[in-house]
Order: sequence, then structure tokens, then C-alpha cells
Amino acid sequence: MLELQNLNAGYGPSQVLFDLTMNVKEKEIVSIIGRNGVGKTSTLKAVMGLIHTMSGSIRFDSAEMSGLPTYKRGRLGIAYVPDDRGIFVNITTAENLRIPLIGHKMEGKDNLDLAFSLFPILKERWNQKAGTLSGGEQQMLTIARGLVVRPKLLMLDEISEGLAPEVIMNCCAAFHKLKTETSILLAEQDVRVAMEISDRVYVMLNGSVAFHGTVAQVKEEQAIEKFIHL
Amino acid sequence: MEETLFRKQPRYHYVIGYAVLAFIFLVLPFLTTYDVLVEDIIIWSLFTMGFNLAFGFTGMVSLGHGVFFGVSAFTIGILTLHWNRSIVTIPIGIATGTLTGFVVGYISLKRARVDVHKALRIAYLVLISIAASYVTMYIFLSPLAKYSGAEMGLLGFPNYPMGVVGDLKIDLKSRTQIYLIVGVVSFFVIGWLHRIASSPAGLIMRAVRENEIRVGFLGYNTFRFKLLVYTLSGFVASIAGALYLLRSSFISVDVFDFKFTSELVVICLLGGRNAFFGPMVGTAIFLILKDVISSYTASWGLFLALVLIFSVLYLPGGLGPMIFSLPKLLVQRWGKKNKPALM
Amino acid sequence: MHLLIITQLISGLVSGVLLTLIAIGVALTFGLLKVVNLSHGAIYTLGAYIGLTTVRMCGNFWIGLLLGAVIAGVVGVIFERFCIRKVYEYPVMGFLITFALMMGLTQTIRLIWGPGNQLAPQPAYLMKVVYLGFVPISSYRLFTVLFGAVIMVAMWFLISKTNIGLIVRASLDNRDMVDSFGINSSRIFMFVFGLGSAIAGMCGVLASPIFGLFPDVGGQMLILCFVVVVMGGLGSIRGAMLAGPIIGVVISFTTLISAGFSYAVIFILMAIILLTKPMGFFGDKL
Repeated sequence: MLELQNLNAGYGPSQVLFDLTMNVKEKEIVSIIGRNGVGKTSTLKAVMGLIHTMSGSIRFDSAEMSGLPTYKRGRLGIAYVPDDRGIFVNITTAENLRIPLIGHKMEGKDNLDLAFSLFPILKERWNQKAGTLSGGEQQMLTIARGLVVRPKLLMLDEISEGLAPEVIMNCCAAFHKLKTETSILLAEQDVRVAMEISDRVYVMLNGSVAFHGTVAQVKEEQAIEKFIHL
Repeated sequence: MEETLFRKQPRYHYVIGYAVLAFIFLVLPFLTTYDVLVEDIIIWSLFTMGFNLAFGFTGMVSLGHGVFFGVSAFTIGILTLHWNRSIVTIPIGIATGTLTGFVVGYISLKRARVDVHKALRIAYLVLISIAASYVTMYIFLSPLAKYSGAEMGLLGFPNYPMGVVGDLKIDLKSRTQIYLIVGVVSFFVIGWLHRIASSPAGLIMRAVRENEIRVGFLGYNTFRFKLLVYTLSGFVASIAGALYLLRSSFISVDVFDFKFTSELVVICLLGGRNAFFGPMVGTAIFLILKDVISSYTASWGLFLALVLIFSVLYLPGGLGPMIFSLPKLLVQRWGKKNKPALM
Repeated sequence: MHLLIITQLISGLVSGVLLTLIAIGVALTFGLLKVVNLSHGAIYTLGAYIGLTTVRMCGNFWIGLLLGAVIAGVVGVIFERFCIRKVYEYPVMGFLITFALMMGLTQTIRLIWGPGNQLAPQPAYLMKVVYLGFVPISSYRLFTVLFGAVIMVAMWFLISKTNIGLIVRASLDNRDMVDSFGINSSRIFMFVFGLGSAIAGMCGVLASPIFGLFPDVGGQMLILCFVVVVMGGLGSIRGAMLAGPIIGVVISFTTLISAGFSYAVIFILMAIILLTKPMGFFGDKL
């Protein structure tokens, strides 16, 4: 469903992604792993249109996205959960969750039920300004925000940071269940979480893909030892 | 943004450059009937190049430099008229102007810390400098009115010669003496500023403009540094004010208006914010255009605004760098024509 | 003596409300686009002059008010779309280009309508004096402050209770995320900018009998708006609503001594605020 072909992208004149080729199909969970600074976050941002693409193609459902502004890409059914959480700090939890609903022209409490079942504490913080939530709660909120519009592709950046292990496990379980309607692309620092939850893994190094395969293949080829634990 | 930092120019570039500069500053005023215009260009070049160190190089947008210019000039003028007709008033005036620069800079920059969004930092600078201009204008219009001449400006300045040392006096009505002073002072101050700008300090200024946080990480106290640069530009503004007073024998509160300083901003933008001599090109273009256009139409301001919009959108680097690369381009072309076999 | 104080107080509140309305445009533009919009004052002036010409042509103040608002709004949108938007990333350029737009617009106004003072239009039936208790007040000022308050309430409602207002508030925090959820933030900003400009233009017509009608009036107004915005917190609407009347009242009392004095006081006040509480009343981290 998502295809990156020979993508070159960067921030202004400094390039961070070099000839990147990657894909995510329907009904699967894919992780990107690698050391700090290899371009995991940049890949997600490039898909979303938040950084400058110099050449190469990004296709979603066979449609070329390269020229599209961010908001149009969002409307195609891609949801993004950034590593800095991207919470709207001065508005309430409820309002934070309403923004994506407005954008995708959706209504209704039924979309919120999933969020509540995963993160019941959000109900308690419903009318609180999001900036007053704790780090972990904010992390939950931002994941909930991504889920609430039932996207075709959910992109998550480093969610293991700031979440208690049981919560992560709940998320993993939930993601497995969601797989049928929402594919997930995960950029993850914590290799164990990534391997635990994914079907396939891309190992990035210096802005390109160094290795990719199923979780089993990664273990066999010792890709992690080769490319991450250098 | 292409930076050409520390591009080591061949020696003779400097020699030629400074020779041209010396010619313009010291000889040209005596050769042409447009001497007032040339003098204006000289004094304003000094003013803007000092200003540009703060504005273009370091990224501090201030509309207050007219204040420092004016305070210096007024102090000299008032002291000379009411106290002591000697050259000692000049350093006092310049010192006062510089001190004002320091104070305004301090207030503006103190809160412009790096943890605050860049737009906010610039907003503070702009607002405080506008505030300073209004307050100063008020001070010189009301309490100090009988000294400053209020709306009419300072009158009666050049009537007596200014004592230097012993019997040596400067005849304030003698064009030759004045032009020589203006030319020599400007030449040396600009040379000094150029040395500063070409040194590592100049690099730091540009670095602060681009990413102040990182410069802080390198161990520099960016607040102190910026304040230093700002005060320096205030110092240059004060010198320019002194020279202006010597040359025109007149100063009025109009210079405190932020619109006056905004002309400096336009000049720096036109001439190139990143090139040291850019503002000089900008000054020449600006003053000549102003002269020419004002004689045709009253809407000089409108024309200026359009030029400014155009430059911001399409020419953010200014015209200066383009003009400076012209000699090199010409030499290259000429070189190619003469040595076809090697090219 | 009491009478003087109350009169000045009321006069200050009237100016304050007007200042707030204009300042809201500046505050929003800064919060959303991170650009200090120096041309906002010129837009106010434009509205005022459009009102003048309209009333001259058709004699109806209300049409003048409407047309002033609409044309100011349109011009504002044009400025945003073609000039300001392009320099969003570069605060220095933003300042420069809005400065140029201000100069250009003011000069054009001066060319078209002449540099002098004009007599501002007022509906005849509002040129009476009414009494609040024992205090006389021009019914026009009364009308102005009430109308202004209504608009302020409407703006508040728009910002806090509607979807668009929510989008604006979210964009103040994190514009990229708003985009990522499928919302065209640029279009929303254009709308907000246009609205702010329209209100400024409307204030131009409304306030001309009070503040005067000459090409530089917007510039002077803008300076005061900056003080309001700084005091209330750059980007904060609530702050502007609180600071506006305060500044208005301060001005109306200090003007009794002299205009220059009131400016000096205002600016020293602003400098103090910037030094002690740079975020103003409600400004949050940007």
C-alpha cells in the first residue's frame, strides 16, 4: 500500500535519506530500526510530506504522493504519531482527539471507544489541558489521536519511550488486532519491541536500508549485530 | 545559502579595493559638483555598514540606531553651543550615543534568550527599539526643547571655529577641512570594521544569526556577544552622527523617528546583508535613486516600498554580491578570450 | 474633578476596545504565522478611507462600514497569500516584507486621498450627547464601545466554541500536526488573516471620528497595538482583550499632560513588561 522508491530527501540542503526503497503492504506491521540518526524519523516525515523530497517516489495505494501537501496526504488515510508527541498543549484532551475527526470529517463516539479501551485514563483527563498530562499520558493521547480516524496506515515514531511496559504490551496486542484494517509502520529505537510486534523489519544505516526481511530472517542473518550493535 | 567565508583573496584585491575606497572618500568630494551627495554617501555608508554588522551579520533587527546617531549629534551640538567650543565635545557626544546604544541593546537583548522562539526574539528587538525612538523623541521635544530646538532642530552650530589644541582650530565653515575629516575618519573606521568582519568574530556573528543555540553550545555567551556587536554598531552610528553634524551643521529630532532607521534597513537589504561592503553599494543606489526619483515625483516612498517587496521576495541576497562578482567575471571572460588554447 | 476622571475613563475604555479589536489581528498573525504584521495598521487606514469615500458617494455610514471591512479583508488576504506566506520561515524577512507592504499601502493612500487630515463620517443621528447618570458621553462613542464589545464577544465565541476556532488554537501549538490530520491549515490561516484585516478595516471606519483620519493614523495605531499585544502576550487573544482597555485608559489619562508624554509612558511601561514578564499576561511559550 505504501511504496518508497529511491527516495532522496532531507532538511533544506542537508540530505538524510539516500536512495531509500521500502514498502508496507496491507494487513501487516513493519518496523524500521537502526541507531540514532540513521533517518528513521526522517523517513516517516518524508512520507507525511514534512521534509523536502529531492527525488524518488512515494506511492500510497498506487497514487504518487510526491507533489501533494501534507494535509492531502493525511486525507488519503495516513496517520502520523511523531516522536515528540506533537500534542496540542493548550487545548484539552477531548479537543486534541477532535482535531483529527474534523480533518477526516468523521463523527461519533464509536471511534473513540477503541482509544478508551486501550487508554482508559484518557477519560479521566478528558477536560484537562493536554499540556498538564504526564509524559506517559501524552504518549497515550498521541497514539489515540492517530487511531481515532481508523487510518489505512498508522505511522508511529518511537512509542516505546515514555510508556510503561504493560501499556506497550496492550498496544502491541491491539495493533495485532487492528492489522486487518490498519497497517502499521513503526520507527523504533527499542529493538525488542520492534521484533516482538512486527511482521517485517527494515534495518537502516546512514539514510538507506541496510537489511530487510521478516523477523526470523533478521535473527538468522544477525542483522542487528551487524548493523546496529557495531 | 552560499557562504563564502574566509575566502582568501589575493593581496592585490585588498590593495585595489582600499585604493578605490580612499579615492572615493578622500578625493572624489573635491572633484565633483555633487559633493553633498558624495559626502552623504560616505557618511551613510559608514552608518549602514556599522548597522549591518548588527542587522545583516548577526540578525538583530533594530529600529533604534537613529536614536544613537541623533543623541551623539545633539550632545555635541548642544555642548558646543552652550558649554565649550572645543573638540572635546565630540568624544563626549560619541560616548553618550554609544552608551545609549548599550542601554537599548541591553534591554532588548536581555529577554531575547535562546529558549524563546526566534520570531519572538526579533519582535522584542523591534519593539524595544521603536519604543526607545519614541521616548527619545519625546525627551528631546519636551524637556530638552530649548536646547534641542524642538521641531526646528539645532541651529547656530557652525558659527565659530572649533578648538582642537592650543591655537589649532577647525573652521566649521571650511568645506575642505570638513571633507577631509569626514573622509579620513570614515576611511579608517570602515577599515577597522572590515577587519573585524573578516575575522573569526565576523564568523561568529553570522553563526549567531543562523543558529544561536549551537553557538552557545560552543561556549560563547551569546548575550554578551550580541550586546557587544550592538554597542559597536551604536558606536559607529554615533560617529556617523558626529560626522553628519560637522558636515551639515544641523540636526533635528526627525532622526529619532524609526522611519529614519528603517531606511538603513532598506539599504542593507538592497545592498546585501551578508557582504560587508554590500550596504555601501546599497547606500549609493538608494541615495542616488532618491535624488533622481524625488525630482520627478512625490511618491518616492511608494517606489521604495515596491523595490523592497521585490527584493525580499526575489533578491534576498541583495545587489552587492552580484556587483562585487562583476570584476571577477569580467576578468575571467577576458582571460578566456586571450588564452583559448588552455581553456 | 470626578467628572473629568469618569469621562477620561470612559474615553479610555472606548479606545481600549478599539485597540483590542485591531490588536487581535496582530496577535493572531503572530501566533499562527510567527510574523509581526506591520501592515496591519495600513489596512486599518485603508478601511477608514474606503469608508470615507463610500459615505461621500452614497451618504450611508453603514454601507461605508461594510465596504471598509470587506475591502480591507480582501487586501489583507492578498497580502497574506502573495507576500507574507512566502516568508513564513524567516522572521526577519517577515518583518521586512510587512514593513514594505505598510509603506506601499500608506504611500498609495496618500497619493489617492492626499496627505492631509480628513473629516471622518459619522451618522447624524448618533451625534448626540446622552447621559449615563450624570456623565455626558457622545452617543457615537457609546455606540462604538457597544458594537466593539459585540464583535469581541463574537470573536471569542468563534475562537473558543467553533471548529475553526479549535483548529486555530491547535495550529498555534503545532501546525504540522494539524496538517497531518487532513486539515488545510493554510486555507484556515488565510481566512483568519482576512477576518483580522476586515475587523481592522471596520475599526478604521468606526474609529475615525475618534482617532482622526490621515494617512499615518494606522501607523500610530499599530504602535499602540504592539504595546497591547506585548502586554497581553504575543499570540494571546485573551491577553489582548485585557490589555487593550488598560492601555486605552492609561493613554487617555496621560494625554491630558501631552501626547508625547503619553507615548513615553506607554513605552516605558512596555519596556518594563518586556523585562519582567516578557510573556505578558497570558502568553505561553511559543
